[in-house]
Formats: sequence, C-alpha cells, structure tokens
Amino acid sequence: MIPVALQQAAGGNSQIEVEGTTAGEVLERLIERHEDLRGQLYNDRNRLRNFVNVYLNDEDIRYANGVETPVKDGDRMMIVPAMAGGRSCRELQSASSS
Amino acid sequence: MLVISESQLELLKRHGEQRYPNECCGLLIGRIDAGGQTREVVEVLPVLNAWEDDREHYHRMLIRPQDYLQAEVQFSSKGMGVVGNYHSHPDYVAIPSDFDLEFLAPWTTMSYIVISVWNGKATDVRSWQLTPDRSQFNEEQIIRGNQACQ
Repeated sequence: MIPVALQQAAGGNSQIEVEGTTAGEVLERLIERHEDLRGQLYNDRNRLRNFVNVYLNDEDIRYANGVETPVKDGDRMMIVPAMAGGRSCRELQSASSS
Repeated sequence: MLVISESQLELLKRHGEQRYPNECCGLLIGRIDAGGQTREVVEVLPVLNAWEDDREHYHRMLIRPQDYLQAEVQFSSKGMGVVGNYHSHPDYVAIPSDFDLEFLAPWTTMSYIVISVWNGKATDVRSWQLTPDRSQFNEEQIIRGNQACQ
C-alpha cells in the first residue's frame, strides 16, 4: 500500500504488487520499478531514512528482523513516517528574550 | 499550494489555543492533484502529542506512525490520505525550526502547517513545503476554499 503523498512517485498507484522474500527485497524491487521513490525513502548512503517505518501486516518490521524480515504471498506492506517537530533551544532562548 | 477551508483553519487555531502552552499536532487529510502542486484538505485530524516526555510538550511534538497508518487505511477507500501535518509553536513565529527541518517533513510532496500561538491566542497560520533537496522549507500559498466536499 502506497501513502497518498507518495503515489505520484509510484506512477499514481495506491497499491503495487511486488515479489520478494524479505521486506528489504520487496522495497528494493519497488524502488527499481519506481525510481522516483528512492529519494523519498533512501538517503545519500542508500539507507532507509531514519523516519521511514515499514509495516508488514500492521507490524513494524523494526520489531521483527528489520529489512531481513521474511515476507510471504499475500502479505501487505506499508511505508509510514514518524514526524516530530518543535522549536530548537536557540529559538526558545530567542523567544524568551524578546 | 494548499487548499483548506476557513472552518478547518479555525479548527487548527482552536486546537493550538486549547493545547497552549504546549504544542498541538495533527494530520491533514485530503487529495493531491495529478501534477502534485495542489493539496486539498478535506478533513483535519487532531492527534495526541506522543512525544515521550510530556514535560517537553511546550516545545516538542511527535505524531505516531500508527496514527498516520490508521488515517491512510481509514481514508483510502475514498481516494484520500495524509497530505500534510500541522503543529503549533507556542509563543513563537509560524516558521519551521531547525528541529522541524530535521524531523517534521518525511516527504517533499506534503504540506506542513505551523500555527503561531502567543499568550494563548492563535495569531498566524502558515504552510510550508520541503524543497526537493531537503535543505529548507519554502512557504506555500494557502487558498481559503469553501468547506471542501467529502
């Protein structure tokens, strides 16, 4: 399943069927098919960006075997980000002195 | 650009004011046009600030991946999903911080709204988009539409 924000990079698809034996293999094949996804998901060192979470059947693969987590026919994968925000310490100091 | 109704903008402001002096946060649900240039907000989804240490909620917020996942699944049958997020800056301007640049924006295709809340009153709402090289945010135009159709 492709999040709405990434569907354009995935050829307009909301779901894509990809074969693979591990979560990492599925991701790599997805990227091979839709190269525009690479910059969104991977950093310059070709590693998954820190905020990218991959869910396999609603379970975060980080709590299984990461990209080595085995997948089987019919499994559903979803790319989900963590998002955090707020002011930095410098900005807090600036706000309190203004 | 971001298309959002006045009533939805009001909801964001009220959320920021309710959570003051802490930060509020939430998801923007809607559609992205075929060219990827316009995000239309159909629904605003406030979520809990999940930053682990609640003593830091006055300057930190975290949106759980599970909330994002649930929203995508819930709205996928309507062809909608998460097109952006929002959070407030208590007693600070509605400009993304250095921390925001690092952690707020996973995709360059989404809108990121910041609400400025001074002394408990929401005074400014601005929307931002991450540049393709992820080096900075550019402010984007907010189009105040009528109540978006479901």
